[in-house]
Amino acid sequence: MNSPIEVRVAAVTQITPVIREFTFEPVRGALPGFSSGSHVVVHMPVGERSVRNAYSLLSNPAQTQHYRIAVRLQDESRGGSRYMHEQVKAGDLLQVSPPANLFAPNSQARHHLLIAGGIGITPFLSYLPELQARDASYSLHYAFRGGFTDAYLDSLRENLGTQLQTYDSIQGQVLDLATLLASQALGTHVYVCGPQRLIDGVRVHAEQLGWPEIRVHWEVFAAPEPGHPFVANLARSGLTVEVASDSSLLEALEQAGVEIPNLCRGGVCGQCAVAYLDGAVEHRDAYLSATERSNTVMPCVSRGLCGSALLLDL
Amino acid sequence: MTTHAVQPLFSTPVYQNQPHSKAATRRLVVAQALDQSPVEALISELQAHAQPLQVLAIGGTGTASDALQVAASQAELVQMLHAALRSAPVGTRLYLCGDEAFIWQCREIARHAGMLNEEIELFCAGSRRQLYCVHCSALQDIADQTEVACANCGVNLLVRAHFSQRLGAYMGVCLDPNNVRGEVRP
Ligand code: FES
Repeated sequence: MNSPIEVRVAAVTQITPVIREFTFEPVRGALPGFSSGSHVVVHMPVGERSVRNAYSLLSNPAQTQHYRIAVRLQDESRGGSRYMHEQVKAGDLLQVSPPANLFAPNSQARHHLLIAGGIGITPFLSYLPELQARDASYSLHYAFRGGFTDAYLDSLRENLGTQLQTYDSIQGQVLDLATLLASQALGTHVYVCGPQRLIDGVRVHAEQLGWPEIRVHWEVFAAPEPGHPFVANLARSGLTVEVASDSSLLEALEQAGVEIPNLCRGGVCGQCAVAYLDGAVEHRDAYLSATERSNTVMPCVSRGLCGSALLLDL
Repeated sequence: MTTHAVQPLFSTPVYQNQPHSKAATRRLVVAQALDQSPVEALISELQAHAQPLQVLAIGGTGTASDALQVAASQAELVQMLHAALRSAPVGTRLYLCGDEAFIWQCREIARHAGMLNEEIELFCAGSRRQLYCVHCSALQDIADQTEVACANCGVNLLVRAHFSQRLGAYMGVCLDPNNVRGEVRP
């Protein structure tokens, strides 16, 4: 697995009352390049634990001197976003994984329909320079709460003009997904990033309207949700790992020195799949089929059920 | 032990008898002739759906209406298809019915207009096929023969099983390099 890169926090900027932007610069050498839609996983020491959250890179991929991410303070935070907001200052050192991309723009698309909800705007900020440089056809539909989650609104207005449509829930403006998706020219691909209900809405409407799945791209933007504590036993190494309620199984394994390949840390990419031999699983991923679930678990989001120990084939 | 059935070539096109039951906002049928048997069955099947159904066809006995546009020739039908695709939204499903040469030509047009293979269904009727001469790049219509002379360059061609989806044609290669045009060597 790719080892993490050490970065220095070059700047911290408050963008809205709940969104902060962080600029990272390399401590030594150059940062690895990245493509539009990439994310990095930031390692955050929260108390005894290491919380790892994935954040989209929002800087221009052509500019490789630094990485920029934006973090929304989550109400039900497991500590990651709170740590970023309350602890991290300019000059601090952090570890980030090298960039990975699970949300790249499709090179065959005739039109790119971008749909962002709140902090879900971030991956599209790295799309726009590329789409504009390619002279590609696109439009951005941005839903937010004015004055609260409307990050980067002014610069987007200036930069995009009529290609930007905004929906401010404070003003009662509603993004009508069914109408929007019913009137897209042949060859359009849709990309959505934001809260789960927005992603679900786009996927459900697109399916009902006859969009093939390969035209629909989505990026989950949520850290794993907390759950009940449970125990995982590792069949081959004999280790026992206790998973606290605010830790994911993946994080607990990493904490115990067991590194599992992973990319999205959000239950969609399929990288972290682990076989289990016994125990009951609360599956929370969007990757495995019903049959696979009988013997495979995605530890980045899914958990063992409280009370029964999970036996992993590790 | 059982003997294995001979696998068809990877490139061998697969055609449908029944439309897929997939959601759509609009359904567009393009038929080479309305009275071919798969076309009638397909249209009556699709009429069961609530979405608008549009049919473009050559000749035929039906009277033109909003739902049925009749073309006098294949060239005119192709123009109609171009026009229909220009205003079509994502969510359109395309059903192509006719002989192999016809449906693959229409499929190329639809793909150029931005449609994906997943949105296009192919129904094959008739035995006319297209042959591509790899020596002079000419296309010609053939029936089910396995050897034929190229109508353009005259080389005697073996009709290979390999089908090019882009060209909508089978590959024709020189049958006998020692006897290219079938003349007796001195
Ligand atoms: S890391 Fe992507 S599914 Fe777990």
